[in-house]
Amino acid sequence: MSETYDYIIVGSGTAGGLLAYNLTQAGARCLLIEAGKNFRKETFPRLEGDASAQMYWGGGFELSHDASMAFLRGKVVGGGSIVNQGLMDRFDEVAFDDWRAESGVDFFSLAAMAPYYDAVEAKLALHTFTAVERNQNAEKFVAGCEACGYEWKYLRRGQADCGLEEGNDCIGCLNGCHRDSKQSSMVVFVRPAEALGLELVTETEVEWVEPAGEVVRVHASQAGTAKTYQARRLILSGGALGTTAVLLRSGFKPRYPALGKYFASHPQFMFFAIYDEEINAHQGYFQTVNSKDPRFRPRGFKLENVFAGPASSALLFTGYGRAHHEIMRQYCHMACAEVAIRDENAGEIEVGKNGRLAIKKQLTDQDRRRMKDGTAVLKEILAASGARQVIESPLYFGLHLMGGSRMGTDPATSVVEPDYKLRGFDNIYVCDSSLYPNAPGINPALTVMALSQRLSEQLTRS
Amino acid sequence: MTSEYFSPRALRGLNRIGDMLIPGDAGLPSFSEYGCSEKVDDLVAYAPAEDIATLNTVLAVMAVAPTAVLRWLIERMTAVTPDQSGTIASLMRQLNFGLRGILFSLYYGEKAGSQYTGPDPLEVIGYQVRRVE
Ligand SMILES: Cc1cc2nc3c(=O)[nH]c(=O)nc-3n(C[C@H](O)[C@H](O)[C@H](O)COP(=O)(O)OP(=O)(O)OC[C@H]3O[C@@H](n4cnc5c(N)ncnc54)[C@H](O)[C@@H]3O)c2cc1C
Repeated sequence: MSETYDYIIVGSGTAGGLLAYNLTQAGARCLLIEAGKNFRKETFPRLEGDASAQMYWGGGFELSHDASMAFLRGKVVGGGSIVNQGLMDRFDEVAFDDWRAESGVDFFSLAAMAPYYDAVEAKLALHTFTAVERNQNAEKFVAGCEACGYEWKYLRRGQADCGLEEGNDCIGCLNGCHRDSKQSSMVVFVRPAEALGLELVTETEVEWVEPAGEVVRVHASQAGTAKTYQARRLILSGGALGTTAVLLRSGFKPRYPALGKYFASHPQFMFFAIYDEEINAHQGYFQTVNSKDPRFRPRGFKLENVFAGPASSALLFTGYGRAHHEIMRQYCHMACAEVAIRDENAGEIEVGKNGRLAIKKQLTDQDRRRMKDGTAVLKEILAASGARQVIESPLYFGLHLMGGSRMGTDPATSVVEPDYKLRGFDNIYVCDSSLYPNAPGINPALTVMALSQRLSEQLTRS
Repeated sequence: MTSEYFSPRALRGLNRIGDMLIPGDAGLPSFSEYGCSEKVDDLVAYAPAEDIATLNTVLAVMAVAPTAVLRWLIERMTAVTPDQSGTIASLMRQLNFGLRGILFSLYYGEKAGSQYTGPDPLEVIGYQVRRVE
C-alpha cells in the first residue's frame, strides 16, 4: 500500500488533467492514474494504424454488443484531448434547458456556467479560423452550403501555433500533435501539474474502488501486477465508459439502478464526395468550418466538414478487390463531410463476468429520422458543390461518449449528486463526460472542462 | 516470417484474405507482395488478448478454407449493414471491422516487408503529409 494522498484522480483526459492541475496548484497532494501510455510530442506515433493501436482502447476501436456501431476513445496521457480535433464550443440554452429538465440540476444554465467557461477559456490558446485557412475540402463544403442557401461558420479550436505558414499539414495531429500546439490536457494541464508536484502513474488500469471509512482504496493493475493506492478523496474521470466500468466492477449496480444507463454518443455518418480536380483534403488545416444553419438544430443534426487518413478511409468504403483500388486511387480527389446527430440516450453500458465492457447502443426511430434528414441535406450540399460521385459509408461511429453515471437529483435516474459526489459517499466524486444527463448535440469537451473547473473551485474552497 | 501473436498458418490466412481484398492493380502491390503482414505484431500487440486469440483462430481457418467459401464470406461481410439484426449479421460486422481494420492499417501504414522494393501504396495514391516540427 502506498501513502495516503489527498486526492487520487482516475483518468488524465479532458476532465482529469484539469482537476489534477487545479488541485495540485492549490497545494493538495495528488496522484493521477492513467491506463494509457505517456507520449511526448517527439514520440507520438506518426501513422494512423500505429496511433490507433497504441492510443485507443480496444487497440483501435470498441464495438457495440452487436457490432452495429464502433466507439473511439483515447487511452493515453491526455485521453480524448490527444486524439480529438480540439474544437471548443460552449453549449447553447437549448442544451442546458434540456439538461436541467432531465436532471433537476439548477446550475445547468448558460448564466451559471459562464464563469467556469470563462476561467477555462482563459487557460487555453483558442483560435477561430478565417478564410485564408480553408483548404479545398472546406472550400467545397462552403460552396455547397452557399449554393443551397444553408448557413455555415468558422470553427473555434484549441491551438497555439500549428505552423501552417511553414507548410505543416494538420491531419497528423489526430495521432497526437507533434508541435504541442493542440491544447490537449497533457500540454495545458498535466505537464504543468507535474512541475508543481503532481504524481503521475501510467499504463496502470484501475479495476475497482473500495470505500474504506475515511479513505478510498483504488485497486489497479500495472503490467499484470496488482497495485493498491489510497486517498482521502477519489475523483473518477475515466470518461463515460471508463468511469462507468469502474463503478460497475466495484459492485455499485444494485445501489444505483441508473448506473450504466442513459449512454449517448452523437453517432456520425460519413460521406465522401469525388471531384474531377484534386482536393488534397489531407493537406493544410484539417477542419475549419461546419454547418450553422438555424434550421438544423431543432431537427437534431449538424454537418461537419472532416476527413480521414487512408487506412480509416479504406475501412469506411465497402468495395474490395479492384473496386477498392479504384476508389483509393481517387483519394486526392475526395472531400468529406459527416452528419452527426443528437441521439437519444437509450444506450446501456454493462460489464461482463470477464470484466469486459458490453455496450448496448442502437439507433432509435428518432435517431434514424435525424440521420435521414441530415443525410438528405448533406447530399444536396455535396451535389451542389460539384461532386461527380458521393460515397456513403455504411459504418456508424460514436466519438462523443456521454452518460452512464449521470448527474441528477432523482436517485431512480441518476448516480451522481449535483455536488459531484457519488450518491451516499462523501469522498468519492465523479467528474467527466459520464455525468452528462443527455446528448447536447454540441462538441462536449469544453463543457467537460467547465464542469471540472466548477468542481475544482468547490473542492479548493472546502 | 514469424509473429509473437499469430501462428504461421494464421499469417498465411492473413495474406490470403488480404490478397482477396487488396489484390493489387497497376502500380499498386497486392497485400502479400507488399509484405506488410511481417509487421502485424506492431498493431496487434495492443489489442485485447481475447480478441487476438479469436483472430488467430479465424485467420488459421481462412488459410485452409476453400476459395469459394472465402469469397462468399467476403461478400457477406462487406455487404452487411448496421441495421441487419441477428447473430450472423453481428458476426459479419465484427469480422468486417476487425479484419479490414488490420489489413488497411498494415497496407496504408508504411509497413513494407523486407523483400519489397516497389512504390509504397501511400505514394501511389498521392498521400503526402508535410510535418514541420
Ligand atoms: C477522434 C475524436 C475527435 C473528437 N473531437 C472532438 C472535438 O473536436 N471537440 C470536442 O468537444 N470533443 C471531441 N471529441 C470528444 C472529446 O474528446 C471527449 O468528449 C472528451 O475527451 C471526454 O473527456 P473525459 O474527461 O470525459 O474523458 P477522456 O478525455 O476520454 O479521458 C478519460 C481518460 O481516463 C482513462 N481511463 C479510463 N478508464 C480508466 C481506468 N480504469 N484506469 C485508468 N485510466 C482510465 C482513459 O485512458 C483516458 O485517458 C472527440 C473524440 C474523438 C475520439
